[in-house]
Amino acid sequence: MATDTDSLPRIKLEDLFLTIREFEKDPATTLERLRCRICVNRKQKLSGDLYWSTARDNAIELQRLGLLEAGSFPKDKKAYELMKEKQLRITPEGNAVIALFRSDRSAAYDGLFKAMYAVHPYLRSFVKAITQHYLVAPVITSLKDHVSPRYASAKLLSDDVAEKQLDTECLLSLTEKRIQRPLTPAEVNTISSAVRTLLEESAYGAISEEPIDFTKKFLLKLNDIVLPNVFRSMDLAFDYRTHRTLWGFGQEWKLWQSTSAHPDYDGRLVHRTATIRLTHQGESVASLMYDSGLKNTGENFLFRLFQAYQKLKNTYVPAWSLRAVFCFDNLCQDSVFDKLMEEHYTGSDEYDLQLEIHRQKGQHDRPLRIGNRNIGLVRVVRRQL
Amino acid sequence: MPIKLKSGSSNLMNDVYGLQENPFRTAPIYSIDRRGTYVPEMYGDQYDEFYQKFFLNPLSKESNKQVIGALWSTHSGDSLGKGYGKSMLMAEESMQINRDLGASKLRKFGVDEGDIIENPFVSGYCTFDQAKDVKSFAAALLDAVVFILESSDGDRTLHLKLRERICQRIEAEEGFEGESIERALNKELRRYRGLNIQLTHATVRSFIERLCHNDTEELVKFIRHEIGPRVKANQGFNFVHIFNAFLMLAGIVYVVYFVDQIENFAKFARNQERDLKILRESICQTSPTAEFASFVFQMHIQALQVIEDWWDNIEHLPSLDASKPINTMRIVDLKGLTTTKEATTLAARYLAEKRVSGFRVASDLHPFDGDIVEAIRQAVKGNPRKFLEQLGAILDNAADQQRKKIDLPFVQPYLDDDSSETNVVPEEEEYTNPER
Repeated sequence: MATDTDSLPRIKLEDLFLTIREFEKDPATTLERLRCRICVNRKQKLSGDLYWSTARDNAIELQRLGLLEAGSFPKDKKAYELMKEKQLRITPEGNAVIALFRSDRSAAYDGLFKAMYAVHPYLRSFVKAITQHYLVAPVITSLKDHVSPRYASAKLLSDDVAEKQLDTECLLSLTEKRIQRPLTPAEVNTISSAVRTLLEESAYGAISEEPIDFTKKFLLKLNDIVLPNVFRSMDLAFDYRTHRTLWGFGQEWKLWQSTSAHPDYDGRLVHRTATIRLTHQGESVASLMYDSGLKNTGENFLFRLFQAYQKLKNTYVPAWSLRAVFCFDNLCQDSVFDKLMEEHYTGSDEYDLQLEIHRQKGQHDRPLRIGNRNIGLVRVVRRQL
Repeated sequence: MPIKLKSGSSNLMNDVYGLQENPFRTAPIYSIDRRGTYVPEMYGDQYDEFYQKFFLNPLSKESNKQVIGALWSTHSGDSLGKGYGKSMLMAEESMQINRDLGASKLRKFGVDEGDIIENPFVSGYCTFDQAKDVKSFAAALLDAVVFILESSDGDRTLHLKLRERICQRIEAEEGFEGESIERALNKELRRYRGLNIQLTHATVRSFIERLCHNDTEELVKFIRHEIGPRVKANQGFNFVHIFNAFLMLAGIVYVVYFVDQIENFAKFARNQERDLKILRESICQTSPTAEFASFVFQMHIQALQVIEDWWDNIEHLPSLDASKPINTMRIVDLKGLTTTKEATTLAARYLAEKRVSGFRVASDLHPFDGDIVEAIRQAVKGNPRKFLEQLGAILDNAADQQRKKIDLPFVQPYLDDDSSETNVVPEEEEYTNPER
């Protein structure tokens, strides 16, 4: 069980830098000006109150990190109207971050990680876990494959839930298969009991709402039950949304990444992509080493690619599966793989790469783009020398 | 006669702006039935490049003149690349070329008179048009054939002109010209062993008969209405091959087919794979088309995204990707209005078309001035269509607000409105964590 509660901001890290750089021109600014800057960055109209909550969430996080001073923040749109011209002031630490960002963007991202690590207990728990072992999150995205084969349609599920029923037994056994270990009796009990409560709360919605809309919401709620429980022993008992936020942060920091395309794991596989050393008690970050960045992973790339390809045991293999296997084996980021593929797709004297264009969209992962094309299938051939 | 409004906007347009009406359309999208004002100067250097790559370079070769290329607009200011005047350039230049078999164009580029006489060429334009059921390459190219046949030099159609040239070349028997041409054409078609056309097929026979006789209207009616969609899709290329042989018989040494709206093919065509196989075989492998006919496709980034999956990957047709340096000699990339001069020339030409006769103006740009035109050019990032739309909208607003003088402070809010929506410089790259 996580010892502290925490509230991780649902933001993109690059927005934090975007926001703080608004203070470059003037040490004091307003929420409204931050909002306008975000609109400009997103190429949206300035009129109205679009992105008001994004501006607020970024400012709250900057204040939490001690980079600006503002006091209280609006809770809703109505309050935003009243508070949008309230002054926000940058601190000396904030100015130092701006200066660092201008001179060395990578170092600024590292600094941000260390600062957020210090103030967010959930991030600390997550980092401690990911540095020790990879994680497999059994995210429920398919009724049939992840809840029970009997739910072939959304209607069948909403009919069951309307009667306060769910094939919980099947959900539990599928979850065990997906996380590749048996659930403990305590996990079974807590999940079953939380599902019962969810059924009590959702029965009315199952009758009154459109089955597809209802199912989407229901799956999210099931994720909020299953994920915290299977990760409780690792001190990662937070909701699905927090997990997703953390996965996204890792990709921006280049410290860990997640994929749903690895053929050996039926869920979201999360693994580190750098070496994070913590201090004795794990209270702070001692050092970060990007040992599987572009340079290191690029050495002998085609040989490594061939090794990953062989594991997939097919002539033509899906590009995103190949990427997932490669990144997991080499503990690198998708973006590193994409860049290296772009550099090496013409092959070499020893290896020939045959690429087929992307005909079906991958469900969750970004497509692999090479030479302005989405690549769907890849074949790696070792030439007879 | 249009209705007369009681408000003063019409008077202001006439009396102060010196215009019969607003010369700029709300949506200046080109079609050959609604051509609009053509200002080739707006293409800047790309105009010469267009001729160099698609006409002069191929014509300088003895054989193997074929180019499979693309007319692009990759302009980064407008991610879609629409509104850069590609369709207009292709269609209008084709019409001008067909007027005198390209002679005046070659003259303009300094080609010797002797070479001009020996190298007559023609050009056709077609577009994938869902509304007209033009959904296959064969059907589209047959439309381009009609475009060439109907082209006129002012007195007569190009069809009749070509026919006359053939008559002279084969010394056709007087009074039996049609039959003589038919005989010569059949003989010409039999020369090509790879050309597998069933000359006894009723529709093919009817087409040849009409092509060789002197009734263009009847021929066009036949192609448009009597060759059914299925025959067009299955055998359409045969008619194009026959037409190409007809051109060769007339001593034409080169033809370019411009194909517009290619992304509609990917969106609407039912048998894409089959159609593409036929396209490749027909344009790259079948004589005489493969030697003396070029095919230039209109492209923009959206079109590339739609077709890229099947074009060079599946059918191995020559890549049309403008980002690849290897394709440079087959691709012309329109850049839009890159200079103030191009913008002022374009605006002045439109205004001149609707200028009240005898109205004296201090500048061709009246009621605008050079600063306004430049401000608009910059605000729309040189996109010609948006430029014309902006001029039209500002003129309408000025007339509506009874604004006698159109100056920068009046124009600015309209430009700001546009820039806040679309012309913000993207910043996202600056903030991402660099790869380690």
